[in-house]
Amino acid sequence: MKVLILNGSPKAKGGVSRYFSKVLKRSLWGCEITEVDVNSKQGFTKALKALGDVDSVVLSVPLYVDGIPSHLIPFLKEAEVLCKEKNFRFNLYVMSNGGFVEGVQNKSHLNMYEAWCRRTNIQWGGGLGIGGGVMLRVMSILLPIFLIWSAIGIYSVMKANGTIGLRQIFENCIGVLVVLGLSSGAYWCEGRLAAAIRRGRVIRNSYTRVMVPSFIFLIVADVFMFITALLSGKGIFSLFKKSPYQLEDKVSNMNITGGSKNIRV
Amino acid sequence: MKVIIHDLKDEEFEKLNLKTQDYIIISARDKAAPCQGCFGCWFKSPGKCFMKDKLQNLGAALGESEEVIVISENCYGGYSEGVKRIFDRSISTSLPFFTYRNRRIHHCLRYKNKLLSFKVFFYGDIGEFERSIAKEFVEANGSNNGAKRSQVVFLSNVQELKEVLK
Repeated sequence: MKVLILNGSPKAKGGVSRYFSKVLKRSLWGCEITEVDVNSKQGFTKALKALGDVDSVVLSVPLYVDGIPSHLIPFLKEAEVLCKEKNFRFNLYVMSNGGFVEGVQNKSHLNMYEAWCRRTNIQWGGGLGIGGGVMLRVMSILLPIFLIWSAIGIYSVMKANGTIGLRQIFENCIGVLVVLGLSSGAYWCEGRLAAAIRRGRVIRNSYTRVMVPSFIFLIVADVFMFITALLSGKGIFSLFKKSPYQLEDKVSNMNITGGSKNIRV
Repeated sequence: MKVIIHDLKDEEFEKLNLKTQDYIIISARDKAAPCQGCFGCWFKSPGKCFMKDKLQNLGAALGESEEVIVISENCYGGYSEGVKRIFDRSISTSLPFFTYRNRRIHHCLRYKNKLLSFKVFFYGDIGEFERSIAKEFVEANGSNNGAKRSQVVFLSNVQELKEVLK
């Protein structure tokens, strides 16, 4: 199976979408994988070239204001024209991740790619909507830290007592288990998606999230935002700053004479 | 404040002769950079985008409006590139903090919410499937901005705007 993975993040490095494609790649054994970032003109050209010779295309993309990030829309249009013209055939799978905890908030975003498929005569392979993407990314950073922490804990107990009981192992591994538990939905769904891609099968859209109830998510995420603010050197109150909207001088003049306030953006 | 966001050509929009005295008109035609996803408008320079172009401060306009009218070509059941770019670049209308709105998690709003009506007019060819996506998408978009009412209208011809937007 030839698989093309497209990273739809506008960022040049890092990003939650890239993390999810990394997780997916680990489960795509036996596949010949090409990975392209679609966030620049060169990226578009490279991706369009690669479309002709693959069995499956996987797009890992962030949810921006309930829809497709604007920089991807011209790419989709170009790809639509090209795929129709050259009669390309592949399955399109999309992983959409959003910051809100409910995975289902990705629904209309995923449907837009299905609409693209219908216009383009490409087979819609299925979509995965992931809620709480940023939190899952943070979990993946915490995992190795907790793993080392647990190893040190277990080692020190063994050194002191010579042996270790199951209960003590469990107590030392709680951090790791919590992190794995929170990410389990995403891992499971990505595994299912990878299995479908490996076999060239079509699956139904599925939705997952960071595995916490939304009221806990709300508290944890708000605390996280405060910490992020402090780390970026801003006082908490400055985050609430309102920035007044100013019309351009020319426009304000028109306003005085009662004309229409027409600005070009 | 009342805002019209549209992606029509200038001549085309003027020809429609809409009564737009009370509106700020934002055209999505000109080139502007897309959102970089850096969240600078939440943390580094709250309320403003770091990119110094005409979209830099638009979040304030959207956040302070009572009425937002969007006129966009249909792209797979969503907005066209230009219109979507305006929304992507305006997430400073909200704060990084979360709250419940319409029983779902959304961001708290930065400005005192006055948005009564959020209307979207789609033009261009649009089938049943894309219509259903558009309805859901606009509903979600409206609730993201704290709108009391959201409405979608599908136009078979831009000229129809003359009648619906009086």
